[in-house]
Amino acid sequence: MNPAPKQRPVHFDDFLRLGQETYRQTRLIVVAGISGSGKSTALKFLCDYHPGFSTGSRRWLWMMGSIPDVKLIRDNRLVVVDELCHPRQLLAVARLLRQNQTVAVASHLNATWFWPFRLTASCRYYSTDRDGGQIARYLAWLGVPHTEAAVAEFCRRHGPSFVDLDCILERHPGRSLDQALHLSGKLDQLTVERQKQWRPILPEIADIREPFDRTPTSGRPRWASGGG
Amino acid sequence: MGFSVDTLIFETSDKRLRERWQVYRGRLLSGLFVDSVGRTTIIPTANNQQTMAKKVDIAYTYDREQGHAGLSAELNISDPKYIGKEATFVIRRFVKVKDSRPVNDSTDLFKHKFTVRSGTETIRIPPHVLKERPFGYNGSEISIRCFGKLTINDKLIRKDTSTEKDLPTVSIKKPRVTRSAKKLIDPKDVFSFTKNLMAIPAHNKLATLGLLVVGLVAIVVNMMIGIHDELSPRYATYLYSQVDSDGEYSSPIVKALFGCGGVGAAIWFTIRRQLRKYMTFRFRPIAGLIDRKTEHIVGDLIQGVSRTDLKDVTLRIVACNLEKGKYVRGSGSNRRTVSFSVPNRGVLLYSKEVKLIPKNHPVEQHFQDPISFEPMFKALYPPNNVSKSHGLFVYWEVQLIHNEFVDQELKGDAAQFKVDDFFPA
Repeated sequence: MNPAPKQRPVHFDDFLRLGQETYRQTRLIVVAGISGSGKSTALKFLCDYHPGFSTGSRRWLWMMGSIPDVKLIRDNRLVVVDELCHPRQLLAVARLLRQNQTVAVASHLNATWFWPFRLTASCRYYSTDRDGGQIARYLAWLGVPHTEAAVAEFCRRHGPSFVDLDCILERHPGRSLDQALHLSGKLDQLTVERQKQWRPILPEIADIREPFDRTPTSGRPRWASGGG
Repeated sequence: MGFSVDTLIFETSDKRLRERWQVYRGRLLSGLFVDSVGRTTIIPTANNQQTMAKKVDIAYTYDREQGHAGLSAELNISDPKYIGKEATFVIRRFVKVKDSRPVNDSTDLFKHKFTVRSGTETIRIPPHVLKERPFGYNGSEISIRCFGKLTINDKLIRKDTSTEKDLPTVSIKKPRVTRSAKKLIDPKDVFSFTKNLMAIPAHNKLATLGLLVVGLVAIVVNMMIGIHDELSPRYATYLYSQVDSDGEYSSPIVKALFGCGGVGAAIWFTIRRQLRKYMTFRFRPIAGLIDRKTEHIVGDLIQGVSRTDLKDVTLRIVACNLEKGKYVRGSGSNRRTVSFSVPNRGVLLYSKEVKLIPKNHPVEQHFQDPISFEPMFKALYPPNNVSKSHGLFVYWEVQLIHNEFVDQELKGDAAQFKVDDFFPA
């Protein structure tokens, strides 16, 4: 793995059920979703904790809005391509697929862009935006009271983004999501900053939880999220 | 010693003294002076900075007779190496956000560029600076400073030589306020759905009921499809496949449940918007500025009519300071800027409970009491904002609180307050 700075450990909810798959024949794994919805964290889980990949050679590649030279990245068990946001970057993914065993992509692109890959290779596609279930579980894990309507309203306003949720809860601590959302709507505003240059930071997983396991853990990191 | 301590390093030619200064400069606390025989003296400096060690300094003088035009800044530039260099003097209002990842903001009230010609430059500060009555503020989330900054353009790569000194500003003392401003401006909204539904106009009622019926039908049908698809063979499903795009098992009932949750939530929020329409409620135009002495009749500030009897309704007028700023969270592509407003120093200006406001009866007629904004002027700090997103603001609103219906809120315009009246305690 190439070294990269790390961030505060996050709680990982395997809501995509990645841990239940073997990926023996899978060549391409795509995790798509909005910013902060847990794409990078899901890939970090695959990379470091999934038995199919954690023992082999792995490589993490940040696209950063460009097309990197991938000529020398070959013969890895897994290559993770993070922050794929432009269709032209798919050329690099195609090349990585030829040179490596499996490629996992955190993508901001629509699913249709990956159809050509589906025709030629065994491909798994996951969306982190599908529902607010992971948000409700995260809130339950944090012990923040919430109604289903508040979770749905949060997802309507912000999408299922853990980063946005953390920001709102941090601003209004000790309140239910319903109250925090109301106050946030009245007093705060969240803006996603699009930066051309930024320092890539790998998510660090503190603990792993199976889907629908709602038992809180002691000593958990506060306001941590699976953003990415 | 035959010279003022403040100007010591500029006037003395005592080499031993200078040498002692150079030895001690890095370690001494500001405001301490060690003379040639090692005696330590407290230096009477205005801002408790290391004035003695500075090669550039700012001093303010104020001529009372000239009023707002009476402020001048005396820029002392002692080192001859600065002669001929370009320099800039600015009066800056600066908002510092108290966070580990702050987004601070500032605005320059006055800017003067000049070339250094002598050891002392005197700059008259234009009257608009003092007219704005800049003051320092130290709150829970932000602090605000107004200072003069002298920068001499003497370095190509490294940071230019500069110094700054707080402007002699008004000291504002406000009484302690213990009331929770957050609770004051956001009372818990309790309401009865059925009573609210009965009170809204017929077409809104129909829309609400229609939404409810459509939503209920959608949820029931959706669940039936989910159950059918769960129990049917894979080839006989209607909508929810038992396998996902990769050929793995995926539960139709779980998919249907999430669908129902989404539909239910969307309908609930649409209905809530409809429920507010049980009455009209708005501000009346207020003529002129509101000052400390202004008294208004509450009923002259608002107007509204309810379509139903309102029982045990409370009208409140509340005000507070809002500390506004920004900070950053997340990193890389997940970076977020959070713009916040924190209510502080909440003041309840008016509160009255009315047992009954009959339907179609003007709401304002039940609140014919005088209201004075004086408590707000006494308790709140004046607005001190640098931009729309940074600074200290004054906020006020009218709340109509009812336990059976969705509460009504009107946000007031703080520009209607006479700012000068916030300054006296």
